[in-house]
Amino acid sequence: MTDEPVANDKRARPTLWSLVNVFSRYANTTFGGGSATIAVLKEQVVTKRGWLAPDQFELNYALSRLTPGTNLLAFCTAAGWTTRRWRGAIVALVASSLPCSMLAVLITVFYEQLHGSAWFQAALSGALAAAVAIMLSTAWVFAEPHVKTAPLKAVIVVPAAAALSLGVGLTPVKILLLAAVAGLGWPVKRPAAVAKDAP
Amino acid sequence: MTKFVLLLWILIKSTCTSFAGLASLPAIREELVTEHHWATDDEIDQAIVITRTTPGPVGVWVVSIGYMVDGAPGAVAGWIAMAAPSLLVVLLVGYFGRRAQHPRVRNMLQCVVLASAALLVLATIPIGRDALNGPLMVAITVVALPLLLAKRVNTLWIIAGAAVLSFTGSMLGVAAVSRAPPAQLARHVADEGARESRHR
Repeated sequence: MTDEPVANDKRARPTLWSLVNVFSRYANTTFGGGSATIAVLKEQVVTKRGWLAPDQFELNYALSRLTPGTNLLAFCTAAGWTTRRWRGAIVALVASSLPCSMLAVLITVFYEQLHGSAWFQAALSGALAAAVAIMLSTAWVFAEPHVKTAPLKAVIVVPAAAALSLGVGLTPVKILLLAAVAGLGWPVKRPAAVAKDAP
Repeated sequence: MTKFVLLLWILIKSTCTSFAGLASLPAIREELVTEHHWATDDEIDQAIVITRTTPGPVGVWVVSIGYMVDGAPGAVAGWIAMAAPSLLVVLLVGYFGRRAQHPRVRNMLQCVVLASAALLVLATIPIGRDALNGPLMVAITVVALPLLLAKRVNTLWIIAGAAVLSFTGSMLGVAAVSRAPPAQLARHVADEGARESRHR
C-alpha cells in the first residue's frame, strides 16, 4: 500500500484489505464529528490514493448528508460502493463503525475512572481544541472548489444556509434539502443555445 | 433475546428516521427512559459525554446506551442500529451517480456541499465556546488551523500533539483545564438533537 498520489486519470481500484486499512484507521481516530472525519478521508481516498475522482467524492459526500442515520458511515458506505460495489460498501461500513463502537463500549465500562482522571480530561480538552480547528478547516476544504468554480452559488448559498439556521432556526437536514432543491432549480445554460451562438 | 429484539427495534427505528448522530436522542430517550424504564436520564447523558470522548461519528452514542441497557448484546444492537441506515445511501448514489454529469444534478451537489460547509462553521460555535477555555486552548486552535489548511501535518498528529500539549500544560499548571468540558459539550449537542427532532 503506497501513500503516493496516483499520477494518471485512471482510478485505482482498492483491494478490500486496503479499504479496511484506510477506513478503520482514519474513520475511527478523528475528533470533531462526521464532516471533519470525512475531510481527513478525502485526503486519503481522493488525493493520496486516487480511489475516487473529486466529482465522485462530491457526489458521495452530498448524498451522505441526505441519508438517514450517521452521515460519516453513509459516506464510507458510498465510497466503498463506488470503488468495489456491495462488498466494498459492507467492508467500508464495518471498518468505519466497528472500532469506534468497541472503543465506546470500553469507555462506557471504564467511564467513572476516565471521567475522574485529570490526565484524561486534560488530554481530551486539547483534542477538542484541535477539533475546532479541524472543523473550520474542513468547512474550507469542502467549500473551496466551489468558491472558485461557482462563486455566485457560494455567495448566495453559504449566507442563506447560515441565515436559515441562525435566523429561522431550521434544522440542518431541512436546510440541506432546501439547498438540494435550489440546486436542481438553478438556471443552466442549454447546449442548444450555446451551439446557436457559436460561429 | 426478547429484550435484544425490542431494543434493536427501538434503536433502529429512531436512527432510520433521523438525519444526524444525535437527532435520534429524544425518540430513544422517550422509549428507554419513560416507557420501558431500561435507562435513566443520567445514563443517557453519560452516553452523550462518551460520544464526545470517542473519536469518529457522534452517532456512536447509540452503542454506548445499548451496552448500558443490555450489556454486550445491547452494544451489538446499538452497532446494527447505527450502521444499518447507511446502506440506504447506495440507492441514492446508484440513482444520482448515473446522472452525475447532468448540469442540474451538479448544481444540486454544489449547493448541498456549500450549505454543509456553512453549517459546519456554525457547529464550531458552541464547541469553541466550551473547548477554548484558556490561552493554551486558543493557541492550540490558532496554530492547528493554518497547519491543517496547508495540509503540512496529518490530522492525527495534530490531535495527538494537542492532547499532549494540553496534558503537559495542565501538569505544569500553565493551563487551567476544565474538568468537565465534555459534559458542557454534551448539553449543547443534546439540545441540537432535541431541536432536530422537534422540528421534524
